[in-house]
Amino acid sequence: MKAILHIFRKETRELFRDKRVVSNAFIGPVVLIFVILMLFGFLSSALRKPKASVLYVVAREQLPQGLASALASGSASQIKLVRSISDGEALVRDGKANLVIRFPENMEAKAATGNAKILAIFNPDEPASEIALQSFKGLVGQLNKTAAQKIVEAKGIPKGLLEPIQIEEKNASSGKGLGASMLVGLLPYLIVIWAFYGGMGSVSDLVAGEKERGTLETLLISPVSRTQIALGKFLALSLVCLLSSLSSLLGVILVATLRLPLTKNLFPEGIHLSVLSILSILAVLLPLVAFFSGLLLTVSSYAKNMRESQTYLALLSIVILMPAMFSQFISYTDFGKSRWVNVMPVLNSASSIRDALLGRIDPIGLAACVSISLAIAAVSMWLVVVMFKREQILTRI
Amino acid sequence: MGMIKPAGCRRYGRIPQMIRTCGLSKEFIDPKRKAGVVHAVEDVSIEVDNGEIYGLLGVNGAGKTTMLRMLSTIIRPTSGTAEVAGFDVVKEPERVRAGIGFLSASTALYGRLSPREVLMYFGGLYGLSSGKLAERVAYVMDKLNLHEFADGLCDKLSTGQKQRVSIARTILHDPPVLFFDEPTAGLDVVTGQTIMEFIEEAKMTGKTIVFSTHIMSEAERLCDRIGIIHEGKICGEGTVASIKERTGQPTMEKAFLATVGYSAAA
Repeated sequence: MKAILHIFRKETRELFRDKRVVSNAFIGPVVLIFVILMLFGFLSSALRKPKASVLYVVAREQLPQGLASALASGSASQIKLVRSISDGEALVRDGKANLVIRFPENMEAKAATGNAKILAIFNPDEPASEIALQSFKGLVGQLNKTAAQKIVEAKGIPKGLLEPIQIEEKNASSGKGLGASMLVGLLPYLIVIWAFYGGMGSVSDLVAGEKERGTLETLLISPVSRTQIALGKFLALSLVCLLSSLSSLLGVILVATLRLPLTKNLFPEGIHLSVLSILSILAVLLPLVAFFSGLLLTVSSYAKNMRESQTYLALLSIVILMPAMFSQFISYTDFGKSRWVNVMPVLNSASSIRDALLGRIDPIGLAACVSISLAIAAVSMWLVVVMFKREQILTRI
Repeated sequence: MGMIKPAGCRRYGRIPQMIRTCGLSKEFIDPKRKAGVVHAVEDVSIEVDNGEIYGLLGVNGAGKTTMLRMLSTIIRPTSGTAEVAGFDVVKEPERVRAGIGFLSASTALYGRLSPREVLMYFGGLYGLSSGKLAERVAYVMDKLNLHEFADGLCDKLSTGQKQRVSIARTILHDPPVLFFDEPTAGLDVVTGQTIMEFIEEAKMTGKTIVFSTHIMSEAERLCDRIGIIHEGKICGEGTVASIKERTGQPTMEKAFLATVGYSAAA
């Protein structure tokens, strides 16, 4: 154990002195998360704010007064005339207009008989056009409702009959986690990904780099066992992976604490995690870090040099990235509650972290996730030790 | 792979041998070659006495490095046996490694550590207690005059300074056996001279040394006995004088060429 710790201390010291490791694994996550969340906050604010835009209409004179004033007070700051429907279609197709409207002749009269049809020209390929259509539909829907209410009131019919079935919403959230925060899908992904990328930037130097520089031979001539050397390096790499992941969390906490104008709607309630949630996240993260470190070290030990190591790592990162990315969207499907998620490496960790952020603890899922990560870490480290014990670690050409 | 111990390995017996090999062979599989198998070292039996400098003299690719790598337990012999400082290189590799120091021209240092940190690290790996380690670090730093750059990063050192630190690392744990694999290759004259002087001093302190080189003058200057290795086989062994006498050549260079069967016409 003494030799393992001795190697761990030396490797850690060397890694922490490497500017690439410090910037990639420790400073990078904090800064990037900060920037990503600011961007997220900006987009979120922009989407929530009613967008004042130009409304294009064919035959402005047919625009009913009630609708014109509703549009002016809502989303349309300016109303522009389009000569014909085909001109309107061209404008929408070319992305110059989000929505072009044509009102029927004598619209108010037709509306009184329940026979007014408005033509809305939009482009479903453009999200902004889709949003403009939905916004316009909402506006017309509101006008319809008001008109219906007037009729009902005039005839002395109870107003409730207009909406005979109503929905009463009740919040069943435990209130312990991040709740409805939009980040609950993104955070597990960031935590998982940075645990991997922090180590990925450092691992090539640990074994493949030592081979290339000739220091591995010196190390292997020492009387320390190959298992101890491998474990010392594994511990140092695990620390980098863990700190990298925690750095990404630090970025999130920083954004939540500072409550900047752009990002305050991302954490409307701030971050309130219970001790149990924090412990659950750590229980998932530590085996995950061991799993990533083992896997990364296997690649670095197999590679002949830094360049080969980096090539393999780039491929490996895609394999890791896919389930991590999927974890962001799984809650929108029924798969999120399936048991198979608990046995899918990486996905199970992200899913368990998500549960913990929501204040939910699933002991079976957690146990499965921890066991699988540890099993992969053990197999990887067994491979690393086998490679260290074979002379090919130095002679493979 | 099981070891085959060839019969007929001689034993001196008068002086305890610090290094002894018997039928030592190493084969590599090389898929790029037609034959597939490369016989890097073939049936080598040598003995090196305590306090002796034994030179492995051969051209590039003769098998010198493979031989030293087997003796220092980095690679396993395909067949044959070898003992270093009384321990079998296959059965007790860690005990062998505890008793050896290894230096080559390509031996590198950790660029982001200082020479002092490198020495402390390797001292720890060799199991030196903190008191003993401090004492040995101070000793090697004095001996090799490392003080002026002891706390700067190794990456910033000149080639000569790096080589002095490598020497310090090699002798830090005071091993009885030292292996030098072409230690002066690629170095300037002054740095090369430092290493030669260091090897001479090591001999005076009773170290057993195996020294591989292809430079005849170095072999003549340092070695008590020389083994001429060619295409993986020892094809001549003895003192410099005896090899010259046996081949009837006036210089070591010519004696070497005669031993390996080189002729100008070829």
